Amino acid sequence: MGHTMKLLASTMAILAIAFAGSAARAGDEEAFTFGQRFADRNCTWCHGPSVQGFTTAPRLAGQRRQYLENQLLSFKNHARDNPLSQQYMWGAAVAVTPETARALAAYLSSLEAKSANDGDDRLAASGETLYRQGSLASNIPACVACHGPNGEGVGAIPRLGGLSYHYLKRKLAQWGEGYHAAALAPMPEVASKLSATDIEALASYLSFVK
Amino acid sequence: MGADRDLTLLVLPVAVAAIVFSASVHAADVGSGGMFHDGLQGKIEYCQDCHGASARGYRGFYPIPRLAGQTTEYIENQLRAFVEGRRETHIPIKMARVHGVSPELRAALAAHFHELNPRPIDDAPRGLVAEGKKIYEEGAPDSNVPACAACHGPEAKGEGAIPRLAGQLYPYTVKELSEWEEERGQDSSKPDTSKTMVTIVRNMTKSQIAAVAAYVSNLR
Amino acid sequence: MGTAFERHLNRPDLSAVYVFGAAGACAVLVTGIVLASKPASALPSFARQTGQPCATCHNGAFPQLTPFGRQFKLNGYTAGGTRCSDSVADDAGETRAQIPISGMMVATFTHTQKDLASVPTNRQGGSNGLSTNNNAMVQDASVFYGGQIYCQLGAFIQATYDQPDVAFALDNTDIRYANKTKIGGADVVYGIDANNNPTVEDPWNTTPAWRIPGGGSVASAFLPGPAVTPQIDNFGAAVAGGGGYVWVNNEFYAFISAYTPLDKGTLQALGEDTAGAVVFDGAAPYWRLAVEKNWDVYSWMFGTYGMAVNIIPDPTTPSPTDKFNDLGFDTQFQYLSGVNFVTARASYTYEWQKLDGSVALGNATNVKNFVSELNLSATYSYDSTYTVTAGYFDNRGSADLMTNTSGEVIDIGYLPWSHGGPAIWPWLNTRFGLSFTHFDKINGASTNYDGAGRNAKDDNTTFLYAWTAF
Repeated sequence: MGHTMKLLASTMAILAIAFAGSAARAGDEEAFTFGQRFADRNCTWCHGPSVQGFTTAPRLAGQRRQYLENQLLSFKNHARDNPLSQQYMWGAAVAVTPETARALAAYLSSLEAKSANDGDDRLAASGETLYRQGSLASNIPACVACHGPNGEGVGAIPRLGGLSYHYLKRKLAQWGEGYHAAALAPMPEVASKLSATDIEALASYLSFVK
Repeated sequence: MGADRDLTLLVLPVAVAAIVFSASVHAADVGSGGMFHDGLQGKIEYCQDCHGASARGYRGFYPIPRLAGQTTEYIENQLRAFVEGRRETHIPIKMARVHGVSPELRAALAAHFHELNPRPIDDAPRGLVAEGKKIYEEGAPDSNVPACAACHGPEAKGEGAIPRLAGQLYPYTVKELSEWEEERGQDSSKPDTSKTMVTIVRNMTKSQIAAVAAYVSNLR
Repeated sequence: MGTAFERHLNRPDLSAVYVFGAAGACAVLVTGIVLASKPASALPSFARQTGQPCATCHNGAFPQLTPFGRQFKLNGYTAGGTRCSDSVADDAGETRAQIPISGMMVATFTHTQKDLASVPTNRQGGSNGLSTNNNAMVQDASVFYGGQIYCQLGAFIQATYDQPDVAFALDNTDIRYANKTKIGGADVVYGIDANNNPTVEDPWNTTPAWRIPGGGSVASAFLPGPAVTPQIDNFGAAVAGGGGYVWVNNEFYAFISAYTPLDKGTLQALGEDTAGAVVFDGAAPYWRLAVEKNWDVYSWMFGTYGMAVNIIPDPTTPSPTDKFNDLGFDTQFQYLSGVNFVTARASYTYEWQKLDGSVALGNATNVKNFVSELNLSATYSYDSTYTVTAGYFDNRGSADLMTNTSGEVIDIGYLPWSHGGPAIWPWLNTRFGLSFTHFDKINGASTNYDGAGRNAKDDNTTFLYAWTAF
């Protein structure tokens, strides 16, 4: 190739890459604002104006992106069959396509999260011990191994830090009752091993985590 | 404690039987229903809660290593090392506590996990595998890095006290090789087999570590 | 004033019927078959708009609102709506852009312990085939616009045909624009609102427009009420007002508005009874403050409300005005868990009357009077299907107002289609009800309260109804 042609080819290549990059970014931005508009119109009236949770509807702000996406789809396919999920989320998820789920997850995961601080602070210390070390005697693994030192989660493993005591308590107990058996392993089995006291302690501790 | 290997082998079947059939001891209010098992089966489930289905490993917040197919001696050594403080980690989990199974159970658990053979998670960057294979099989003579295969075996299956690497989680292998001295052999008054690796990893560069880890991660 | 059949002038009978959640939505969402087809277009009005079944906002015991129902109302009735320039079209480009029209019909049967003193007449004074007891009729039929108008603008607009008036008129109307923002870290939902009935914009079931029992429930058209009630109860559909509100951190609510009365021409055009026309001196301010604590499945509100109105007693004759100042306190507690829904309510309104005008014209003897209204009630509903409400009312006033009326109400309802209508009509929802009202006294006396020998217990009423939403 002549020098000029090489220059032209490499310029075209650079421009193509730059445009592709910005188109991808613009696509991401578009998805992001769609996620915001969708959340504001469809989710905030139950989950709270800044999606920090309201009554039995949990905080979604700052939740792990992959986890949010997975939950929206599991409401759609009814894998998540807890009583309140059936009552409220099955209907809500009818309108959610995989693309919408992705956009919502991107938006919601970017929001700042506030801690619920609604647990029993007398139980928080024992909850923290259980969270960080598990219980060898009861065969309960240390939650920290998967959910992280600050309850932040990773990938499809949810952030627990700061969620409402009432919500965590209900969710953990419901695995023991047989609900949501198709959740990401090993949660159904692990939660089934928790006693009522364990659950209250864990839920209390986590509700205070920033 | 301290029984030599032959005695342990003799005692093993009796111990396992005793554990499986004994009444289990629970904390005040343990479990809220659902299925959980006492004794050995309960401990296996407990280990797999973190170490993954069929002990294939799990990428939690921290990478939790594969135990499936591991040599029994290595598993038992590491369980003892955690409890005796010879092995530490930078992960905020009190490893002595969570690995503190009774001595009777160690051998049983090791034997169980040794027999498992699930598919590897195989989570490594593909591009590094070729270079990793070269280092694994031939070493990196310029850097004084011996061939891993010389001790860990041509298929990375390990033997005796030398661990199996085949199918190990990529981020876990990287982490161990990078932090070896900070984690292993922590009780200098009780030197152990981990000493062998010290000079080797000192000579490995970051990219060599990544390449080798990538290579072994998808070996079956 | 003072006849046994006096009903609150111009107060819409069934102001409380929310048809937004016609329950077949529940069937649509529960049965996979319908889900696979076109769920969006199969749901009526608010249920359609949000994709939620009725129980989410009303938990079967409609028109009571759950905490989520209150959120929907305070956010402008627009949740789930797609009619907006920034439309968030849902599945396969199908927007939920249908016009949110719903309807309701109430068929009733009334039996009073003693025959009514005279045959009920319509608004013109003519007969409409009713008799002095055991009347069966279609008491109300309404059509609603309920939902998003455009973007953040939404409305609840009801028009009702009722018997025995035999009239079709504009009923409860609440139009609002709502949005949300953050002020210093606090979540603030704010809105501007226009409505035609003080307290119709309120999201709790304790203030006059939506009180249960009361404006928020169905009662016999022949049920007598006290001769005099606080003015805040009296202006339904006879006034127009506008104001604004904030709802801060899902906890603190403040609403303020002002009302002016509609003139006779406007009332006529809207189908209202012009006999209820009033003239104010200036606009009448209304205010409402409430604090609600929500935790897990519990919700507890305590609040206050009030109104000040100056009425020109006779527009054709100059006189001072009659001044009315209303102050109320209310509280509502809810427990909503799984299949059990419990609500307890209490409200008390006190009115100071200063009737300089009426006294000057010779229509009243005392310048200063008081009127008060106490309402206590509790509702339990099971699985959005079986519901029972018990209530106690105690209306009092100065002696010469002769308005002391008190009694008890018990109502049981059965909603067989809360979880889905019959196969031929999945979105049908009907409340079959039986209620019994017992009067301790009416207008100041338990015996001979009307001067013609009628006793309070003669008006004890047994009432059967079928209240259908579609």
